[in-house]
Amino acid sequence: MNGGPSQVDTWDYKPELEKRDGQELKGLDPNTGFFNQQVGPLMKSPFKFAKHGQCGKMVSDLFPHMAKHVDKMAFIHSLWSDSNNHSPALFKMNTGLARMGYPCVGSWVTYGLGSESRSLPAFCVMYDTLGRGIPKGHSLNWSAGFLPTVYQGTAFKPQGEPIDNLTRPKDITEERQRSQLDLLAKLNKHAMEKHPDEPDWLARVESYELAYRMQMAAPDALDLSKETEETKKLYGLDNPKATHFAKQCLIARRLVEKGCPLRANLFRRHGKRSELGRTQQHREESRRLRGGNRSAHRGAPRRPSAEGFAR
Amino acid sequence: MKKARAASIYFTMKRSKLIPSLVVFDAPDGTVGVGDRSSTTVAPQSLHLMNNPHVRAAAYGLAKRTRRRQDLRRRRSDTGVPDRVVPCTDKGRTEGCNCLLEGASADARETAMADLCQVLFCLNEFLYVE
Repeated sequence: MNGGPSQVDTWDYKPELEKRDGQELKGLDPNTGFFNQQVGPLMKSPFKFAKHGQCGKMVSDLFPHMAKHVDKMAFIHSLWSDSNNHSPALFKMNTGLARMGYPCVGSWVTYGLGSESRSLPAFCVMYDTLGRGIPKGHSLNWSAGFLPTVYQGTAFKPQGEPIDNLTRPKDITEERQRSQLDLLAKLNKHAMEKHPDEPDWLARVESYELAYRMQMAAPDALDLSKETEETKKLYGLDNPKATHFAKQCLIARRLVEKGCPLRANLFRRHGKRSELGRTQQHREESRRLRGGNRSAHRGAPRRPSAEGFAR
Repeated sequence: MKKARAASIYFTMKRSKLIPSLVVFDAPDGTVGVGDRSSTTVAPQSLHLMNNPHVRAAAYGLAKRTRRRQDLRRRRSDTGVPDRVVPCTDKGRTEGCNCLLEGASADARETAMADLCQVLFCLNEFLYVE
């Protein structure tokens, strides 16, 4: 999450941090980062960690439900960043470089592995639905960079219809639209004889066919009314604090089932916690995590029963 | 202005209420400096050109302009769009027009012409300026 809870409060237990709570951090340059001369001592997580599952994964008490399923989850603890600012850190997380312009992981995966679905984009992106803004850095976080432009992530709108213009205008029938596209393909083919090695031109031609198929396939993928009430409840759609995140998780699952190999859920949760000091803002964040806004926990998919999940 | 080879249009962009038709066609992030604007090829752009009401209205507008021409022969070979946008081969153009106008009654001709004009908007030659 963009500005979300820290890993040291959620999934990344730091026993050394607990031991050194209240101590000054040796070697720290007080002019580092945004808080010149304002950085306080080390601070342990205010949340309790405990072992869970057969694997013994340490999980904070923020996730009492997800903690029961740790044996079915994969944790990657090797991620690191060399930027403490939103946009560069997001670029680092998504592309591997703190500078803009590099292909993101979704583009690399679809470039290398392709997609099983011919009717949906291979790489879909969903972001915050509560009007809190697009992730810092915008579409550069799901950019194809120097890879062919067709590997760009397709962003779903956070509010209203996820994909604009999915419905044909009333004055065009399917047959007429098909005629248009056939004519377009024919005329573009004439033109491409002059530009045979232009990948963008070919990609554009193919994108119209994908768009045509998406008109049929995407509404079904995005239609959550087809899910059972049990499934909706398991995802947390019934919880007003979690609905926005739960919906995105459920849509992501439906997209995967329909062959879309990669989707990124980027959420903006602008916490103001200082990692190295106890501040008023942190206390507020802590309060929000505890009771006011545990949307991520509630909405993240819990494993339904085998019966509920069977397809 | 007549001698200018390029023109700039400035308008206000509200960060929390971006314009969808600009966003879908790679509008840059206004909050950061961008050295090189990205150029993508994604299906929502195609959906925009195929189904967006504004695009459809523009197609009807262009169709109406061509309807004013009296000569049917001229209407088939010249849609009012500069030659460099439409494929040079007469065969391609004629084929295309006939394809959509074939069987169209007089009443439906305007709609069929709008369909053709919309196809022209979608052409690679229209989108990628040489």
